[in-house]
Amino acid sequence: MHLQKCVSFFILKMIRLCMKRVESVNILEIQDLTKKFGDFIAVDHMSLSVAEGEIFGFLGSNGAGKSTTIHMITGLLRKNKGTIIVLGKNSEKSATFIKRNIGMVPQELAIYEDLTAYENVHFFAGLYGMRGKKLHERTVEALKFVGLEGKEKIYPRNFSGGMKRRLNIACAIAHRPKLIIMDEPTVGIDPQSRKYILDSVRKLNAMGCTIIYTSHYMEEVEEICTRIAIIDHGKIIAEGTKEQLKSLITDSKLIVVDVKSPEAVDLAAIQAIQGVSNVQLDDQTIQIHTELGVNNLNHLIAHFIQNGIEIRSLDEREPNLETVFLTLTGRNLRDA
Amino acid sequence: MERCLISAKMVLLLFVVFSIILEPGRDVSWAVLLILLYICANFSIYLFKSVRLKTFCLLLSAALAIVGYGLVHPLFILLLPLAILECLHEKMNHQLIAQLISLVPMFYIQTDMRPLYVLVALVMGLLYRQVANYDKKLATAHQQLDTARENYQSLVKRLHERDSYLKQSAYMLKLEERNKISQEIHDNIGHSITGALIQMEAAKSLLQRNPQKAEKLLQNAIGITKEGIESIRLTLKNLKPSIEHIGISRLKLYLNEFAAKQHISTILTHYGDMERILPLQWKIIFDNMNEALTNALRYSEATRITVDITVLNKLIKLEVKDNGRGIDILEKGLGIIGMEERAAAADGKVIIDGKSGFSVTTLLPIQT
Amino acid sequence: MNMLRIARKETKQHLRDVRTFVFMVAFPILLMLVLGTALSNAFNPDAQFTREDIHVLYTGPVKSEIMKSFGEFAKGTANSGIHLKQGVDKRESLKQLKQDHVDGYVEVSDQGLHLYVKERSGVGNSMLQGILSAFADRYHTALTIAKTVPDRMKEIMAASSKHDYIADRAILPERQPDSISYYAIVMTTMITMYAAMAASSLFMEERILHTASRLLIAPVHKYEIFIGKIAGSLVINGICIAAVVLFSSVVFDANWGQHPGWLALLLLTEIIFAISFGLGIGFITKTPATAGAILMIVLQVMSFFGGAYFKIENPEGIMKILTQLSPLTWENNAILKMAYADDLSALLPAMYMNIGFAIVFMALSITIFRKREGL
Repeated sequence: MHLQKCVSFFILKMIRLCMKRVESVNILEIQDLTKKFGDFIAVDHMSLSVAEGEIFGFLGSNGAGKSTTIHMITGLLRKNKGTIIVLGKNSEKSATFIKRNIGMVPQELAIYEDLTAYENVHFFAGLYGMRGKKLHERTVEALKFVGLEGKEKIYPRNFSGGMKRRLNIACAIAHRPKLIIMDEPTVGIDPQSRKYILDSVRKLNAMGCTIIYTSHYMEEVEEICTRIAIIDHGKIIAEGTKEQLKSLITDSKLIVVDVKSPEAVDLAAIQAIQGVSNVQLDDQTIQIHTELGVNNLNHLIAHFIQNGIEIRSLDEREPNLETVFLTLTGRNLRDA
Repeated sequence: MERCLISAKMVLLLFVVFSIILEPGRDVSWAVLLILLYICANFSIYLFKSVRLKTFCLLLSAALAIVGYGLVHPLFILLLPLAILECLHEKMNHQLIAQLISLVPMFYIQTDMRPLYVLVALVMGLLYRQVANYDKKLATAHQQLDTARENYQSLVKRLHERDSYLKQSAYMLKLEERNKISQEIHDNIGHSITGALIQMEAAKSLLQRNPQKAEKLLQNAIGITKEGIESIRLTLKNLKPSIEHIGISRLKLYLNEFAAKQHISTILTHYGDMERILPLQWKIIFDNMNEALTNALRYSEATRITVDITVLNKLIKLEVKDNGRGIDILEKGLGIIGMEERAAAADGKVIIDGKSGFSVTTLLPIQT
Repeated sequence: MNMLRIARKETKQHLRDVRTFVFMVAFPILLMLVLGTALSNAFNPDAQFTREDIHVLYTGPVKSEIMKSFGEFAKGTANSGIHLKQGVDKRESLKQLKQDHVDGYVEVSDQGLHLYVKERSGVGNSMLQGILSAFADRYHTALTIAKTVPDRMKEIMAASSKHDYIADRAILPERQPDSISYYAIVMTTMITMYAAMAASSLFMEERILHTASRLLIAPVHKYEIFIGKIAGSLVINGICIAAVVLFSSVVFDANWGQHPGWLALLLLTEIIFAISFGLGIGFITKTPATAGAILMIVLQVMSFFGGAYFKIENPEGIMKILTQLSPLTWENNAILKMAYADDLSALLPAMYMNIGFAIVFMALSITIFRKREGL
C-alpha cells in the first residue's frame, strides 16, 4: 500500500516536471509593449522574449527605455498598450502570481538606513508571505549569498557603497524568485564589488534563476549575458547573442601585425591561411582581415616565426558591442 | 465644467458656514459637524461611478440639509436646492422642470428664509442650466472635431498613398520602358538569327550536291550568328541599367536637385557593397530619405543635411542627419509613422534622435 | 499581515530616528520649560487683569462731617488706583462726566452717597460701587462708635485710611492653571498637530529612499501599504505624545485632570486629524518642500491663535473668529475644562471635529492615492 502510494506520487511528480518543462520555455514574453509619458514615447511597440535560464542583457544609453520596460514588467508602471506574459501568465490577470516570482534590484539603493541589514532583508522578504523560521533562514541565506554574513546587525549607513549595493541585491533575492531583474546594479561602485556582483549574477543563474540585466556598461553585458537586446529610443534595434550582434555589422576582425621587415612577408602565403579573407601591407604593418569566430592566431604567428620575421607587436581589433551600438545608432553608449 | 459647479457649491457652503459662525452666541460644533458630513456626502459623488450611489449621496445630502434646517440652523435649507438640482440635472431633459421642483420647498420653510432660498435656488438653477447647455455644446463641438480629424487623417493617408503610388508607377514605367527596348533589340537580333538559320537550312540541303556552296553558306551563317551574339551582348549590357546605378545615382541626382531648390547643402556618402541592396530596399531608402528631407526642411532650420548609406555585414543603414536645432521630445507625426511602417515592411527599424541636430536612421536587414 | 509588517517597520524605523525624538518629545518639553518659566508672571493670580486708574469727582456740603471723612477716605484710595477729587459743583461735575473727562461722580450728602457713572457695567464701576459701599459701612460704624465712644473715632478713621480697599483676589485661584501646566497642555496639543509634518512626507519618504518601488513590486496591495504606514505613524506619534504627557505630569507636575481615558481618546483623535491633514496636504502638493512650507505656516497660525504661545483671553471681533477656527483652541479648551472645571462637555465636540476633518482629508488622500501611479 505504502509502496503504491510512493510510486504514484513519484509518477505524478515526474509528469508535472515534464509538463513544467514544456510550459516554461519562455519565462518572459513581451508583445507590442508601449508606454507614453505625455507626448514622449518611452517604450515604442517593443516585443521580446526571454527563455528560462538565460542572462538577458538590456543594453542602451541612459533614457533609452530600459528602466521603463522593467517597471512595466514588475508592475510599477501601467502600460499603454501591449501584453506582458511572465511564466506563462498574463500580467493583467495574474499580477500577484507574477509579483511573487519576480525579484527586482532597483537602479538606486532601496534600503532603510534605520533598519539593520538583517531587518531590511527580513522586512522585504516578509512581504512575500514567508514567516517565522523559514523567513529567518531565507534572510540569513540571502545575506550570506551576497557576502554580508556577520554584518547582520550593522546599520547600512555604516556600509561602504559596494556593501550597500550587495544588501540591495539581498533584499531582492531572499524570496527565491524565478526571474531576477537587475537595473544597473553596478552603478558607481569599486571594481572589486563589481566583480563580486557579476559573480553573484552568474551564481544565481547557475542556481536556476533567469536574469534580466540592464546596463549601459558594455563590458559587463558582454561579459555575463547570454543574449542581448540593444535598446534605443524605446525600441529594440537589434537582438541576439553577442556574436550575432557583432556579425550584424561585420564578419571579420582585423589583426594588425607590426614587423621589422615587412618587405620580406609573403602576403599570398598569409592569404592562404585558414580564415584570412584579405591581407594588406600598410606602411610598416600588415593588416590581416580574418573571419570572426575562426581562431587562426597560432597559424599566423607560426607563419611569421617559420619565415624568420620578427614581430614587434600584434594587435587584434575585434568589434565589440560598443562598436555595434555606435555603428547602428551613430552615438556612443555613454553620451546621448 | 464640473469644476465650475464645485466652485459654486463651495461658495455657497462658505456663505452658510460663515453666516453661522459669525452669528454670535450659537453652538458652532453641531453646525460644523453637519457641514462636514454634508461635504463628505456631497463630494463623494465625484468618487463614485455608479449612478445609484451618486443618487444615494445626493439624497443623503438633501436629508442632511433638511435635518440641519430643522435642528441646527435655518440657513442649512439653502443647501437643499443644490442637491435637488444636481439630482435632476442629468435625468431631466428640461432643466426648467428641475428648476421648478427646486422651488417647491419654498412653501414649507420659514417666511424670512424664503427670499434667500428663492435667490439661491434661482441662481443655482441658472448655473446648472448654463452648465448643461455648455456641456451639450462642448460635446457636439468635440464630435465635430473628431469627425474633422478623422476626415483629415484619411485624406492625408489617401494623399500619401496616391503620392507613393505615383512615384512607384513612374519608376515602374521607366523599368518597363527599358525592358521593352531591350526586348525590341532582342527581336531585331532575332531576325538576323533567323537569317542565319535560313542560310544554314540552305547549306544543309546543298551539302550533298554542292559542298563548296554549302560551306560558303555555312560560313556566312556563322558570321551572322557571331555578330548577332556579340550585338546582343553589347546592347543588353548597354541598355540594362545596373541596380546599383539606379539607386545611388538616383539619390545623388535627387539630393543635388533638392540642394539647389532649397538652398541647403547636402552631402551623400556611402560605404560598402551597394549591390547587396534589393530594389525594394532601394525604394524604402529613397522614400524614407525623402520624408526625412521634407521634415528637416520644415522644422529643423538646418543649413546642412548629410545622407549616409552603409552596407554592413547583415544590415543596411541609412542615416539622414541635419545640423538644425533638433528636438527634445518627439511627437510622432504621420511622416515618422510612415517611415516606420515602410521599414517594418522589410523587417527594418527606424531610430529617431533629436539630441544634436535631428537624425533619422533606417536599419534594414540584408535578406539572404 | 502585510499591513502589520509595514506598520511594525514604520514604527521601528522612526523610533530609531533621533529626529523624531528631538522634534516630537524633546522640543515640546523644552518649550514647556522655557515658556512656562519665562512667562509665569502672566499667570500670577494677583495680576489677572491690569487695572486702569479710575478718576472720580465728588461734591457735597462743604462743612459736614461726612464730607470731611470722605475727603480723608479719598486720600486713602489713591494707592488702590481710584482717584477721588473734589469737583466744583454738581452740574459742572456731571458735564465733565458726560464729556468722558472722568469715570464717575459721587454726590455726598447726609442722606448717603449717590454714584453717577456713564455705563452700568464694567469692572471699574463695580469696583467703585464696592469701595463706596465699604466707605458707607465704615462711616456708619464710625458714626455709631462716635456716638458711644467719641474719643476713639479718630483712630478708626486713621486706620481706615491706610486700608487697601480692593482685595481683588481671584475667587478660585487654585482652579486656574499655573503657567507650566498651561504650557504642558498647549504644547502637547500643538506638537500633536505637528504630526502632520511627518505625515505629509509619509509616502514621499519611501519614494526618496526608492523603497517605494520595492514595496510596490512585492505582492502587497496598495491599500495595505497605505494603512500600514498610517498605522505605524499613529503608533509612533502616540508613543511620543504619551511620553510628553507622562514627562510633563511627572517631572513638571502638570495638571492633566482626572480623566486619563478621555484625555487619551481626545489626543488620539487629534493625532488622527493631524496625520490625515498632513497626508492630504502632502498629496495635494507636488514636492515635500511645498507641503512642508504650507504646513509650517498653517500650523504656526493655528498654534498662535490656538493659544500655544500665550494665552488669548476674551478675544473680541475678528480675533474671536480666528481663535475659534484654530483646532488647537478646541483641544485646549476641552482639556482645560476637563482638568480644571471637571467639565467634559467640550470633549465630544472637539473629538467630532477632529474625526470629521480627519475623514475629509483622508477621503481626499485616498482619492489621490488611488489615482496615482506608484506611491
